[in-house]
Amino acid sequence: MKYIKYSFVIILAGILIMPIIWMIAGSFQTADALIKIPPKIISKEMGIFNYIKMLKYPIFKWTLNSTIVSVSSAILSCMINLMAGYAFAKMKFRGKEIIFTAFLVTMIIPSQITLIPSFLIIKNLGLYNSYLAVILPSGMSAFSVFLFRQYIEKIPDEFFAMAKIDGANESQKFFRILIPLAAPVIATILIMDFIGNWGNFLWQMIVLSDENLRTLPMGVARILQQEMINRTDGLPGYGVMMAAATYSFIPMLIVFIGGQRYYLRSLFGGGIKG
Amino acid sequence: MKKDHSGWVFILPALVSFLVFAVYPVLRSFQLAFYDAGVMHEEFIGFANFIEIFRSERIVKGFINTLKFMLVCAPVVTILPLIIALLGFRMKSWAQKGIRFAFYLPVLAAGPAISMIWAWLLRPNGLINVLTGTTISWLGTNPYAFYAICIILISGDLGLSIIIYMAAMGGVNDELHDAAKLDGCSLLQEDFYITLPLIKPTIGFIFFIKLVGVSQIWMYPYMLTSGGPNFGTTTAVLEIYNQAFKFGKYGLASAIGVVFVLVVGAIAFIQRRFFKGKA
Repeated sequence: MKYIKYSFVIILAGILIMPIIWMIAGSFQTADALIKIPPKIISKEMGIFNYIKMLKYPIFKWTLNSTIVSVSSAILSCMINLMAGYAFAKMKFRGKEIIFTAFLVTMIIPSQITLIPSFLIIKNLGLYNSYLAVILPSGMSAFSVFLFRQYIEKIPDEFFAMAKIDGANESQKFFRILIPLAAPVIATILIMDFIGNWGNFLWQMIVLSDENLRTLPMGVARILQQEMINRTDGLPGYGVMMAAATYSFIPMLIVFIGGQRYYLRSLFGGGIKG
Repeated sequence: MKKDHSGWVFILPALVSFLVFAVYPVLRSFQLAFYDAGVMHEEFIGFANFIEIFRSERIVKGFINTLKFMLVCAPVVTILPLIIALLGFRMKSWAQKGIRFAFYLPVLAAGPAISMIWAWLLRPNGLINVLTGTTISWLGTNPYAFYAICIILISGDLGLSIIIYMAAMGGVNDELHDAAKLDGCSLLQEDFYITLPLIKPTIGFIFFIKLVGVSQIWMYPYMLTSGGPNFGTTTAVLEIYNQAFKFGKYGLASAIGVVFVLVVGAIAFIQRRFFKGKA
């Protein structure tokens, strides 16, 4: 019974991981080897030629673009939401609960319905085809505000009271007391926002058309379309496609492995304590 | 009064963002749905956009396909991770970590990267056809294109749920499991009478987010089939994109968005009621 269980899980995991193994192995194969039946994972003619061919596309430029918009969006929205979360958790002001509830309601609004008006706003602001077009809309996130509020409420008031006695004003309290104390949840939100923005390919496609501003997911999609049409020797460039797919997979893998501790924690809404 | 002041200052950036990129777009979308709106013009046309939705073959098919994807994929990506988590959560912690990592890898590759591999695996003389001894043009004929997209979607959508299920199962009180063992329960009985009932809210929640998540499918059809063949894999969201940004019909696209939100909202609402009613 125990072995049946293990083998079921292992076989299923194997099926799911196979495409990724083919992707990595295929990226080092020649065009001929990729259409052989059955295809081999290891062959004699393996090399990095597909990666060299891939360089005819401005792939590093795309990576840089993706990095710029994802990092900026993550920092911007993290700041905005941290400020709001702090206010909701530790400050008293009129209308607090009403605004908080209104924020939460946005969680159920699908992005599809805001897509066209948001696009028109960006266009009317003259931001079409700019980094800002991607960065700006990723402001308030109800999920982040909620998580920040929950976490900050658990920080004892004494920390802030003592800082006040020492003569700290609100912004000093925010930067010197709150940010160090809330560092773990900030890391969580930053990683989640980063991954979310990196993959928000629909929005990027809508507001960016300039070749020079293309992000990595957009670029990879373009390579797929190009290589399916531009056939060399009558064949789609499967090798280049695999190389591009493998290349675009690496940043996500690094962020995931590096931030695993924070990333997984967030899923339990701060419910896990060390 | 001082307190009042600083609270508002801290909340202001989020509030502005909320008003500009959430409240206003929703209202504007409902308005645009009643307009013939394009890049340069806007004209009130009543319900004409909504009538056009039902007249257009591709949009109707987009909605039908979206519902089909929800019907086929949402239960699979809810139940399959549950089975895997049930099998895995009693394993040693290194094995659990291994399972989470293995099933999360396809999630990380999801999107354009995974589309490329599947384009290669599913080509007429590709590996899938070789293994199954067939010569199907998977992405080029109906109804295979639909199934192919389902498989690709499912493969990249299991990892997160497994992690959430395992966490929920790990949270079940050990004493309950011990008591069950003392009473002579088999592991299967334990699963059915203790673990599953206790994590039922989690199952309901996962089913909910998967229903909503699958309803928004557009990327794989966009990349692999362009919604074809013969609109066999086009979806509601893909049609919003096509109508607005390919054909410049913002009004019609907004109307599709409004109908989409109402339909998916109704389904999600019924699902919530159903799960609450039974729990």
